[in-house]
Amino acid sequence: MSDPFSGPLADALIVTALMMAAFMATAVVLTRDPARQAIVLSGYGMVLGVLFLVLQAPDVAMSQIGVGTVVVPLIVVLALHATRRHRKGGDTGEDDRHPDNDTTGTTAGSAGGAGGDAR
Amino acid sequence: MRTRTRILLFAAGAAGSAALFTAGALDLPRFGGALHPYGDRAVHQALRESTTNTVSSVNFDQRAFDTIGEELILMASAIGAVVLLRVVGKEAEDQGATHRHGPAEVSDALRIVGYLLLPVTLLIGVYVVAHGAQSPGGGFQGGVILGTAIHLLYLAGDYPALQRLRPIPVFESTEALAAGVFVAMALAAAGAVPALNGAVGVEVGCALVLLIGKFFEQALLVREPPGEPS
Amino acid sequence: MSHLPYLTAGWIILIGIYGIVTSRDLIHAVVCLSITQSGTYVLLLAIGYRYGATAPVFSDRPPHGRPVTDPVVQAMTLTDIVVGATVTALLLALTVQVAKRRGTLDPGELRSLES
Repeated sequence: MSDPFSGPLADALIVTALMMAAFMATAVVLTRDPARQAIVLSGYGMVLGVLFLVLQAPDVAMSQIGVGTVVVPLIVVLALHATRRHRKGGDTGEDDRHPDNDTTGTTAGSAGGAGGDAR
Repeated sequence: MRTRTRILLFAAGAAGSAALFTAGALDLPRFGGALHPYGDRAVHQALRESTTNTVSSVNFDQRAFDTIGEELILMASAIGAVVLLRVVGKEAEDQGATHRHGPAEVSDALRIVGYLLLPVTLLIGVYVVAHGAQSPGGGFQGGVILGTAIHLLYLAGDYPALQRLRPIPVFESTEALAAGVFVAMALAAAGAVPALNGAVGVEVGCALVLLIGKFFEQALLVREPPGEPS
Repeated sequence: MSHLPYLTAGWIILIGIYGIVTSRDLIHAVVCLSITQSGTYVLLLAIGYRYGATAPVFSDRPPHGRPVTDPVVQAMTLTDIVVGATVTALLLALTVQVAKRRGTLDPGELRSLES
């Protein structure tokens, strides 16, 4: 008789959720363009919410899903929009970003896709 | 400091921290072990007070002092952000910038979804706050839902309605009032979990409405070229 | 498995600090700081987990059945998530100020402009 709360399946679930969280955290950090980063951050918030749910903390998961997938990315996008005007006028701006934006962007995109599949 | 030096310095520091953290983590009790002395006592106490959601009981009964501190951090940072953004906005307005009213052209599907979801989301927020003492939920989570729900109106493309529904001064006073009520209640009657949940819910909701509202104002600020009739 | 969750939390904290150190944009740095913070949530909840336990909510079951996970660390994490979001908003408001005053968000450029 297998217990759904402990045993190899529960272990596998926890390890998968942990690996997904670590992977998405890395993806958020390596996405250098803040606009793309906000979207990846939203995915990370969702993955973290699932991890908290797996760790039997529904209260925390609720809070994390509300804050991590909605509030923080929304504020980041709005702040980005508010600062865009100022940085275009200056001598620094879009052009001194790293040219590898696109590659990190696609990595992050596939990471989000993988997260969606696993759920 | 050059970027190279900075990364080398970080690598050294990170290697040291990682080694120490790993050594510390390997000496922690095993993951998933049965030894949780504080947790067991908290559960026991919560059951004695017949609060079925132990997490709410810890937040608003057993560690209510702690939550006062968190509350005040929340209020202080919300006030700080609103003040900072107000200064920026005021200067920009003095220089002749105006507000643009969001996306005027919104597809009907998005508009209908926004209008339909608004009451449902508000209702869920109230439910989560009100049932925080019994089931997963509480003032913090419900406040987040309430604070963001109102901004569905922006998704529906109705920025003027959003501004009417969200008079900033009212939310500022309500925020301060809720914080005061929470501190008074937590000092006088810690353990009234549903009431404290409500106060926190109102405060978190107001803080988020203020923050997101101020950021929206900043993001929608456009600078008209001077002398050009709008 | 016995210590993997703690090490994962350490990795999340470390990768966030790496992002802050190598950041070329203050908004990116603020987001990396919030990642670092989320590592502490994983650490706290991992410490509070217990095998075979359910969530510490007794609304639909008898109080002395299955063991529950540690509610104390969950309460700490729960408040910190919400408070941390407003602190992130404060940092982003400061970033908007910096962008307005200096016209740039690159930390390297900011240092050379100091007077």
